Amino acid sequence: MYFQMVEVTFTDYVINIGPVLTSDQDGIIKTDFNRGEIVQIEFTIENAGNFSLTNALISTMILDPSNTTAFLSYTLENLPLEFFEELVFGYRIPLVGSAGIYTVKVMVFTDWPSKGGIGLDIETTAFDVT
Amino acid sequence: MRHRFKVLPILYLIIIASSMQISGTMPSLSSQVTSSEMLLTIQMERAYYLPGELVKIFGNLTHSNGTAIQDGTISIEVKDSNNYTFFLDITYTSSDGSFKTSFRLSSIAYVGQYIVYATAHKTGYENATESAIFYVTTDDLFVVRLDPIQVILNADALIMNKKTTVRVIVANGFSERKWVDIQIIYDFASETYDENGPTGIGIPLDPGLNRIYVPGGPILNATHLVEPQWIPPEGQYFVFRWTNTGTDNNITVIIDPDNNIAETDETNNEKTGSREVRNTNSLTIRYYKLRPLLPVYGTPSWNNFSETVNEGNSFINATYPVAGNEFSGVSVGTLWSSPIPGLGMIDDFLSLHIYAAIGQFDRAVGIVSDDYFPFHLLHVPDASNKTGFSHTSITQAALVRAGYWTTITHEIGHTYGLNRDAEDYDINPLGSFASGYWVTRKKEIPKAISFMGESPFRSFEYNSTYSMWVANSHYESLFDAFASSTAHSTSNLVEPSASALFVRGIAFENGTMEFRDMYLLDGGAVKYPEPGEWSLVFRNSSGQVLSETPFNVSFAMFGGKTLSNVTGFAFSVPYPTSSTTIQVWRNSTLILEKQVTSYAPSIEVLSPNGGEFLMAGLNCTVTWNASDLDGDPLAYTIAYSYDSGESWIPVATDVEGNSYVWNTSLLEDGSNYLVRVIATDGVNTGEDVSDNVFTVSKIHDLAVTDVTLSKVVVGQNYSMSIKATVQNNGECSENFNVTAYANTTTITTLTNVTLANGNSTILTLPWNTTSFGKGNYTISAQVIPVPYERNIEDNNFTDGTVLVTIAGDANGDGVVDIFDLNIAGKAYGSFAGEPRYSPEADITNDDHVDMRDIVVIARNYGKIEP
Repeated sequence: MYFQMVEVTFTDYVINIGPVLTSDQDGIIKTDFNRGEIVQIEFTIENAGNFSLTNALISTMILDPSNTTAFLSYTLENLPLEFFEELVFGYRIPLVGSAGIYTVKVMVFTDWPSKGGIGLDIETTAFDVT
Repeated sequence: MRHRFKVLPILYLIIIASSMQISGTMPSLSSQVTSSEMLLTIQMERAYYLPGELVKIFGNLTHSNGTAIQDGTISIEVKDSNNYTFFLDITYTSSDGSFKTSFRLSSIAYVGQYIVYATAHKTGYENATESAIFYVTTDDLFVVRLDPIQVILNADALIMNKKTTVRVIVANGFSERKWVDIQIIYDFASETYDENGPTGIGIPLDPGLNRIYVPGGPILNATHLVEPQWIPPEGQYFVFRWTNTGTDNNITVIIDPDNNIAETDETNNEKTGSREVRNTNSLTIRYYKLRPLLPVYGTPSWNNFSETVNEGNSFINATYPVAGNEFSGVSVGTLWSSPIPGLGMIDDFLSLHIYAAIGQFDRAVGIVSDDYFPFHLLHVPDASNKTGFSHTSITQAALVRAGYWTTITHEIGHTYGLNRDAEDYDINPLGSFASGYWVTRKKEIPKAISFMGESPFRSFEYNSTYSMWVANSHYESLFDAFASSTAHSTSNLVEPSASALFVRGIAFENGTMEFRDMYLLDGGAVKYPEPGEWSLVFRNSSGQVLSETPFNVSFAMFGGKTLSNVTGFAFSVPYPTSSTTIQVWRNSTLILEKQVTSYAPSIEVLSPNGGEFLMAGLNCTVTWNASDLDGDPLAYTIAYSYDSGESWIPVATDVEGNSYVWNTSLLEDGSNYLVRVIATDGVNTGEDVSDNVFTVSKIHDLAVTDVTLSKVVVGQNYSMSIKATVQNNGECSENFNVTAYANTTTITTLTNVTLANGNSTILTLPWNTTSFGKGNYTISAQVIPVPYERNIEDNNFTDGTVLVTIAGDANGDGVVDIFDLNIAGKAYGSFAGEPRYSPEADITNDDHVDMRDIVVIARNYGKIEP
C-alpha cells in the first residue's frame, strides 16, 4: 500500500455560480425597483470539481447606471466537495440613488486578487431603478 | 444536496465615501512582473482622475516569448487611498491577449493614490500578478514624490558636491493651470531654494501629474512639455549640491509655501525624503593625440581631437559617479606612436600607461584616427568598425577613435570593471537600457541605451529613438568602483620600500616576453596587477626571493572579443631596495630575467632651467646632461608642470639622446612652469627638474595706433572727445582697459573692452574739462598691458595738445570777441561731418553749431584770459 501526493492547482477547482436573480423583500423575483426598496441578490454556488476550496472569496458588486460601485459585499466560505448552496445578499437602493439600469456582478475568487487570488467564476445580471 | 439560505451580516458591507489625504510614494503608472511563463501588463489611460471620472483599465497577457494568450482569466481588485477595496472584476483575454474593464469613480471618492491589482490565470501556465497606480484629486495640489537626481533615478546614494537637480512630481487636481511656487530644502537642511518659475509668478502646473525639475525646469506632464527650461534666479548654471556626507533625512519640497492657492486639502503640499550622501574618489584623465612616427596611418586634426575630448569630458561628467570638482580631463599634447602593426598598438598602451603612472593621473587616453585600428589589427575582420579599445593587463590606458564621444566613457568603464569579459552589445542586441537626467543640460533622458553598448559618431543620440546614457546597473557598479580603494593581490614583501617600480613588458604568442624600460620612483603609487599564472620576482645577490607578485597577461582586449597576437602588461609594485635580479616566472618556468645594475643615472636639466619666457605654440628644446656610472644605456621621459611641480604631465617617453623638442601649442598661459626629465637605465631611475619656474605664454600684443581729438580748443567746463585706435596684434582675444591722459592726469578709463586678435577698434573717450585749469594739455592714450604682454612700447600714443580756455573763445586767442562770433557765425547751423562745421565753434560739443553755442559766446563776450 502506498500514498500518492496529489498537487492541487487552481485549474482543478470547478466552482459554478448559478443564475443570479433579483427579488424584493418578499422573495418575489423581479427586475424593476423603486428607490428606497431592498433588492435581494440570489444565486447558488456549486463546487463541481474534485477538490475542496477553503476561504473562497464570494463577492457581490452592484454598479449604478454610471458604472460607479454602489455596493460591494463579500463572504469567505469553505467550499467542500459537492458543496451547493444558495446565497442571498441584500441591498437597499438609496433614496437619492440614480435611476436607470444597475448591474450586478457575482464573483468567486480563490482569495483577494491583491493577495494573488484568481477568479473562478462570474455571473452578471441587471435590474432597473425608477 | 445541501441547501442553505444566508443573508450576509452588515459587517461585510463596504461603503465608498468620504475623502482623505495621501502620502503615496509610488508614482509608476504601470509596471510588469513576469512569471516564468506569462507576462501580464496592466495600465490606465491616465495617471490622474477627478472624482466621478470613468477609469478604464486595460492590459495584455502574453507568453514569455511575446505570443498572445487568449481566454486567460484576469482578476481585478482596486483599492482606494484608504486601502479599502471598492471594485472587483473578472474578465478574460481576447485573441490578441488584451483585456479591459472599467468603473466610474464616486463623485465623493477619496483623494490620493489608488492601486489596481491584477492576477492572471491560464491552465498550463504559472499565475502572473501585476499592479498599477493612479491618483484621484480634486481642487487640490499635492506632492506625489521628490527625487534628487545626479545621473539616474533612485541611485543608491547621492555624491557629495556633484551637481544635482531635484525632480518633483505634483498632482494638480484643479481643472485649469495653476501657477505655484515651490520651495526646496536641501543639503542637510542648510539650504533653502525658492523656485518661482520662468516669470517669477510660480511654476505653471497643468491639470494632472507634472514632473518639475528644480531649479530652472523643464516641466513636463504625462502628455506634453508644460514649460521649457529657464534661468533660475541664482543664474543659468545654478544647481543643488550636498556638501557633506551622511544621511540627509530632511530633503523637503513644499508647494505653494505661502498658501496663495485655496485647496480642499492644505496638508499634502509638503513631502520630505531621505538620501544617503557619500564621497567618491576623483577621476583624472589626460588625453593625447596619437601621431605615427611614420605616416602609416592618419592623425586626428586638432579640431577633431579637441571636440572629442570636450564632448567626452562633458559626457563623463554627466554620467560618472564623480563630483565635478573631482573630475579633470585635459588635452595635453601629441604622443608619437610606433608605426609597427600590432606591436605598436601595445607600445602605445604602455606609453599611455607610464604617462598615467608618472603623471599620477587615473587614466591616459589616446585619441586615434579612423585608420589606426585597421592598421594595427590586420587579423581582426571588423577592425574598421572598432571605435575604441582598453586592455585587460594595461589598465590605466585606453585608445579611442576621434569623433566617438561616448567611447571614452565606454573604454574607461571597462577599466573600472564594466563588461570586462563580454561587450554589452554582444549580450543584448542594443545594450542595456538606460534612463536618467543630464543635470547641466537640463535634459530628461527617458529612453537610452548604455554607453557600454555601441557608440554613435559625433553624437549622444544612438538613433532617433534612443539616447546614450549610463545603465542603472553600470552606474551602481561604477559607484562601487569609485567609492572604494583599488583591490590588490598580496605580495610577500620581505623589505618594505618607499619606492615603486613601474613595470612594463611585452608578451608574444610563443610565450616569450620582453621588458620595456621600467621606472623606479620614490613615492610612486603602487597599483597591483590582477593575479594570474605569471609572477614578478625580485631576488637579492644571494638569490633570496625578496618579493613575488602574481600577475596576469591576456591577449584579449576588455570585452573579450578582440584578440591580439601580441600583448603587454603594466603595473607598479613596491621595490625591494636590495634587488639585484628581476624575473618573470610562468608557473615553474623562468620566462624573463633582468639584472639590476648598481647605480642610478644622474641627470641635470639644462634648459629651460628657470626664468625663461617661452612663446606658446613654438617648439621649445628641452636639454639635459645625464650619465650612468654603470655605463647603462639611458632612456628618458619628459614631463612638465604648470603649477610649480604640484602636478606633472608627461609629454614623451622612451626618448634617447640629450634633448627633446617640446611642442608647446596646447599650453595655457602661465608663469609657474617647470620641466622634469626622468632617466632610466631600465630599472634605476634618476631625475631632475628645472631649477626655477619659467613662463609660457601665447603672444599678447595690444597697441594704440592713433589718437584723434574732436577739437584743439575747448571751453573750460565743456567737453570734447578723444578717439583712440587700438590694434590687437597678438594671438588671443583680449579684454583690456584704455586710459586717456591730459599731460599726466587721467581723463577717463574705458574698462572691459574686448577685441579679437587681428582686429582693431576705435574707442571714444570723453573729456569733461570741468576739473581742469586753463592751459595747454598734451593728450595721450594708453592701453593697459594685459597679462603676459611683453611688447608694451606700442601701448601708448600721444597726439598733440588741446587748449582749455574761456568758454566761447573759439579761436583760442585768450579773449571772447567778434572773431569768435565770426567763427560761430560761419559754422552756424552746421552738423558734424558737414564742410562748414567747426568743432571749436561747437562749444557745447553736441555735434551741432546752433544758438546754444552763440549764447555761450555772448554770455562770456569780452572776457579776457589773464
